[in-house]
Amino acid sequence: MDALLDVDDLVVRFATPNGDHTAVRGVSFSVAAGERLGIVGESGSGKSVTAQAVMRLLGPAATVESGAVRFEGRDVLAFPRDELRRWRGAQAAMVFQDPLSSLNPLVRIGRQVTETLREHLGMDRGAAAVRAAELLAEVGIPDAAARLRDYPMTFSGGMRQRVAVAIAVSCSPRLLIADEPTTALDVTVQAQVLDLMDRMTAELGTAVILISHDLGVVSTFCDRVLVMYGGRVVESGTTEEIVGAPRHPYTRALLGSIPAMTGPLPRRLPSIPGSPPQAGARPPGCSFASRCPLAEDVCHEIEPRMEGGVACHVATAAGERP
Amino acid sequence: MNVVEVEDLRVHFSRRRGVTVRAVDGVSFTVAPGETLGLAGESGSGKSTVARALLRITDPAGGRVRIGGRDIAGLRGAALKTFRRQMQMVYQDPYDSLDPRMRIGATVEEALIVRGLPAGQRPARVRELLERVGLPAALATRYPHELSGGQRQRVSIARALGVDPAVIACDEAVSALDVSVRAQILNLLKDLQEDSGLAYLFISHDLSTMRFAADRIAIMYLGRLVEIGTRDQVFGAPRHPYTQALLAAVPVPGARRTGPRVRLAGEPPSPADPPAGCAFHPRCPLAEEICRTVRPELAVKRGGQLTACHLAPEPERDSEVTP
Repeated sequence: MDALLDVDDLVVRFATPNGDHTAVRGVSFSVAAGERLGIVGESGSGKSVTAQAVMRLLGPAATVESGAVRFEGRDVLAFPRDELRRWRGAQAAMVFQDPLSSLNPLVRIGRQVTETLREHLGMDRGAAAVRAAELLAEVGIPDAAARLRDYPMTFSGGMRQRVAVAIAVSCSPRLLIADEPTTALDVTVQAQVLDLMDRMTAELGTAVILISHDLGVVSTFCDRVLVMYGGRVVESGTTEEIVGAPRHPYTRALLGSIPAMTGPLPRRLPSIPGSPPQAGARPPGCSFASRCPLAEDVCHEIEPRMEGGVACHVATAAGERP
Repeated sequence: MNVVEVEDLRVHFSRRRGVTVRAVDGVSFTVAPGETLGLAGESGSGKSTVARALLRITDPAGGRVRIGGRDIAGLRGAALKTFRRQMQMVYQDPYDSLDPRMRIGATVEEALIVRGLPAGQRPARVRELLERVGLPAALATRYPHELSGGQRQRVSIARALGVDPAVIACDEAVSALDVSVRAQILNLLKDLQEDSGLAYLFISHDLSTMRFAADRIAIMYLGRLVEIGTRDQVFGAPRHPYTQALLAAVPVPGARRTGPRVRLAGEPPSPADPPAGCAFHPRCPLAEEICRTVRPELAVKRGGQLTACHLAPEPERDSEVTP
């Protein structure tokens, strides 16, 4: 199957007061039409920066140093301004953790939904208003037509996130990137929003990239998972492989540190010492080596390459499965 | 004797136009020394308000709170200060609760000053406290921004321990931490508890964390407890439809999903205008006529836990054990 989105050896660098810092260090992946890809990682893993680079939403301090982002074979990083504007929203859309950051608090909900429809689909005011009400009703906003006149602040967090999803899918995009879309929501509302994304994307055949720190959320939604650590992909595979037979010591430790909802509990949780690496100086070798229970000398010296779905000197050599 | 005894606690907030919000509406529970009581519920359920009332950050409108055997209502001045040594709070974001201009050592030392420890003994005690929470004593000269999130949360815990409390309220204390760091802090809390018999009131919206951390669990909905029992009772055989829906909504890694996730439509109603009868009835898939008119009280149901639900199965004769 041809890839809808193809990211090749992406490197993103940030200028900080303490010098430059490479947040994304050679990330490659592709997503096919209708596929759901999960990107899992902790703070500083580079997962959100990767998404922002794909959408060309990086802030002024960040630059794509090298690599390519291709959408249906077209070079996204070379899009001129007006082509970028046509592409974003119509063909590729994004949903953020905090819908208030994508909704303008001073503009009525109705206008924010119709704006996208008018700009990308060329609808007139009346048709856009009718469609906007339909969209809000589809995402489960009660009394949708009347609520078009309300401001975002009068909506609950869950309702705002529904509106953000409605806007994102309003032009039937081919690609939807959702960055921690349910992290700020209660668990029952999270279930509602994930169901909504399920339904909308299944109906439209949209490819989805779901970015989350929560392996539970990702594994109930995605076909395939990338695990990121220290700006790189350390493991990739189908959801079954990643969750059922993780190979990278980091993926295993991450899964092991989540308390089970049923069955016996350990007296102490298996935990990973230290914290994820943040911006700044990076020792040579594998980023995870200093926290890894299996690290050998080579791990501190040479950065492991991605081979057969895992970037680890030890896991590949041992080939062990839990 | 229980270190925390809460009886019929009520906390009201006044809003404009004379509207009173019953944020906590008749909540009762106890916490024993060395025990962790988990308080779970969605945002707006009142769980954090309970903790704030226990610490007298918010004044209750009614009910009784005893900490360490002492009624905390009406405590003032020196007596209030003495009481606060009994109970401490650790918040979600340690960056907000640590003074960014104070060195770590000075932050922890503050607690020792409150406790009245002579200046000569303080530096050694600061080192001891930092080591107890797994931080190198050398970190005492650093500032909060130089520490990782996990290290900052360890500092908050060290500061709380400084006054030698009997109970610590952890309000979403691990929720903002990276998954790999969260497990370390949860283990630390358990170590401290085993060493010194600390009690915790553990507030979290994260139910898998709750299952590991808490011995007993209370589920809150719209200012009231709807279920309270041991971990095995509440997680193994929840009796309240709200608890059941809450647990079913937790995404578990690897659990293949068949069909929609949602068991529970809508969102909790506003506590300013709670529904009549059982507050959960508008969202409850099982609600009957009685649920719309009569508010169910907590009572022992099958399995032994207390559940506030008209429809929860009654206990079998030989299992009538109060948790």
